[in-house]
Amino acid sequence: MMNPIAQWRTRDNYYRLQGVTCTSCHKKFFPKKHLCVCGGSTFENYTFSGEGILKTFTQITVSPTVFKDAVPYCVGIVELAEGPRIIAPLTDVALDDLSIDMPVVAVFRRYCSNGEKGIISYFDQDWPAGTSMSGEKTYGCKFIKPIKRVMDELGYPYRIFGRPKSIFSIYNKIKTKSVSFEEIYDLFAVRIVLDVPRNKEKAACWQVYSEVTDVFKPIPERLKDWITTPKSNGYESLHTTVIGPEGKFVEVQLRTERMDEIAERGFAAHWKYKGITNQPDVYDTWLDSIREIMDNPNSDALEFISDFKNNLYAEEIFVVTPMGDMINMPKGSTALDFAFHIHTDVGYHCKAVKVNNSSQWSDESVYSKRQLLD
Amino acid sequence: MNVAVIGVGHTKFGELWDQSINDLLAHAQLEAFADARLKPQAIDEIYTANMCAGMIEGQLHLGALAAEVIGVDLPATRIEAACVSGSLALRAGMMAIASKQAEVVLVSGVEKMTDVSNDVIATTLFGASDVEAEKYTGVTFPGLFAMITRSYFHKYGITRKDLAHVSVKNHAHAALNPLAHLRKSITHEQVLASSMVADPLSLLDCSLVSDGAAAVVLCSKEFAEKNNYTPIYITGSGASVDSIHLAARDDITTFQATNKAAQKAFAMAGVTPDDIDVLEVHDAFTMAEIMAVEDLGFVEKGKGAHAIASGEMNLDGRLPTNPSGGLKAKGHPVGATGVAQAVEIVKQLRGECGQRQVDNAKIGLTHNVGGIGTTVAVHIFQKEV
Repeated sequence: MMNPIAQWRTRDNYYRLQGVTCTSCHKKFFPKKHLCVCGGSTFENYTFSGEGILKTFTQITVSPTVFKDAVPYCVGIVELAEGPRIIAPLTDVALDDLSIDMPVVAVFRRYCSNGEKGIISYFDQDWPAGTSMSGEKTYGCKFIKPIKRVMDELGYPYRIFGRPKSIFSIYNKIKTKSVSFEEIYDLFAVRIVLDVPRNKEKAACWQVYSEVTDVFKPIPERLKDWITTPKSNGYESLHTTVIGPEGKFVEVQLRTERMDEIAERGFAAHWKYKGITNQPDVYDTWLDSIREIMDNPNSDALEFISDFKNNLYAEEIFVVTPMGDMINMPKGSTALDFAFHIHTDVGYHCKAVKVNNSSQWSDESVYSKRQLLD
Repeated sequence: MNVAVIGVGHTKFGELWDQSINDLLAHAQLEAFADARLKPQAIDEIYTANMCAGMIEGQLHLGALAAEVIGVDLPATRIEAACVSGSLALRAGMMAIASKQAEVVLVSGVEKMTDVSNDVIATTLFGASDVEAEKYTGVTFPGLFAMITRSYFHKYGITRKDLAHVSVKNHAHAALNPLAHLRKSITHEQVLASSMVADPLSLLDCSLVSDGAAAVVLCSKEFAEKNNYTPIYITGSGASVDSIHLAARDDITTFQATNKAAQKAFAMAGVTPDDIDVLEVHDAFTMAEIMAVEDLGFVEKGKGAHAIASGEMNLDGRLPTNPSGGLKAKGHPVGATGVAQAVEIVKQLRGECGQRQVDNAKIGLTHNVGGIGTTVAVHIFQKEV
């Protein structure tokens, strides 16, 4: 158990895998160094990607008391993609799953707690990346194995892998939902990426959804379909949460290689796919909205930033017009925003709105999937 | 810089519940004085090696304690460098004589480890590593060496079966050593069947947790000649360090610090590995002995396991290694180990080792390691200079 002050002092190192880079020769170090091999002594903080290769490992069977409950557990030396080697606990694996030179990625895990009211420590640990989880003993393998079987029968080329949740999304969840680390049900998530032509994407994803939910029972309210209606930042994916073995909740993300690349690399990756179909392009829509914001002479800088950010990050709500058109708007939008979205004149002349056929003042927030009449 | 060893003392190693750290220190030190036919008052300085007492018993200030138990008032310093404390205390004693600040020096080493739980011992021994960078990953000291072992297996294609020969050999040697902690022979099958500690290292791949103390009386060549001693000389001393954070090293299948310390010691003594008749190496783990004989230059890299399996390193082999039984079977009271290795080599060169005597030994070597190949000290002992 690290003492609380040492834990505080090293929080960026262990919670974010932050080391340093030498300002002269750009060599990177973890943990931080005071004198570089090149002789330089000025460093800048550097956050590592967390991707690496397992160079050696062991399984501890005789452990210090603080780790007794975890026995047996694995520890390894990982060579990070940026160069330095670190010692890291290996999580969600058994000894048989490991091999020298296998890829791993850093994930965030609870590490130990100092009694009921003491400090809980978290740690960056390493998790085997890619499709290499082949052992029998781990939860990930128990979950993935039956899914692999149905996927093989379906015949689409695919990749399936455990998706570690990012520290930031865990943090957000703890904050917004007031839940403890242990209560986050989809700490374990699986991503299935299909390699199918553009015109078969949607059908293929839903077909896989249907097969997966035959294996594991889905939780209906956790279904999110961002393939039919992509987020305005371009994110496309079909998410569901299923009840896996041992009654644990597991999030399953279904998408195609194209969608995965956009999700992982952003719109830059999108150029590659432009012009393949005639469907209205989410990227163009997004770019148009940015242009619109920039062209607006009345908006001030702060408003611009906030609009821009909304477009990039905000959660979406979907609003349906009386004609049945679905419109994406940022969460927190009011009926008046909706009116302006239809046409500036509609906005200027709006006094009250009908939400789901009942009257409402136009400046109250509307909720997703309600039908608006002006 | 030839420094003479004129007296040696060595307690039994083992689970010595009836003896305190003071008792052990007194026993080893007084035995060394008796052997040197000197009164404690004859010395000018004391260096005492100890690693764990501060953490296990809360006892610091070991230098003063070492002086107290033999009733002297003179400069007394405690030296700590994890498991290599003993050899660095020996080096400090040599330096005191070489600098002519002292003519006769007492070097001792002591550790009392069996009074407390394994958990306390494990935490204390982990102090030899980079605590902030490594400890909180849950890795243990054997775990660090297990990762080295796996890398070595991967690179040189040996297996646990090859390691087991080291354990079998050292236990066979210890059976002949009345001061050893575990005086019994074991079989190859027993080693392989012993319970796993940190894969691929099992219980019988690991050295012992022991109580014990050792001491030597050093003096200048002039003092030895003037007083008609027939001493054993320390003719070479080399030490070096490598990164304390294991992951910071590119290659963990070779200990650079052993290479460097050995080169310095051989150069100072003016001898080569071919001249060595007997050696005590730091076999904290079976893998460590294989790496030691390679990194010291006795065996080609990657061939150490084969050399040991072939019997070359047995008592009656070409290069008897760890005739005392080593850390594996004689025991490893960490602060005492480096000094105890020196005692064994001195006794071998004097021809006082009874059943485990190496025939006609004239030049001997000790190799002592602190941490995971982090600090290494090598000393060369000669009968004639």
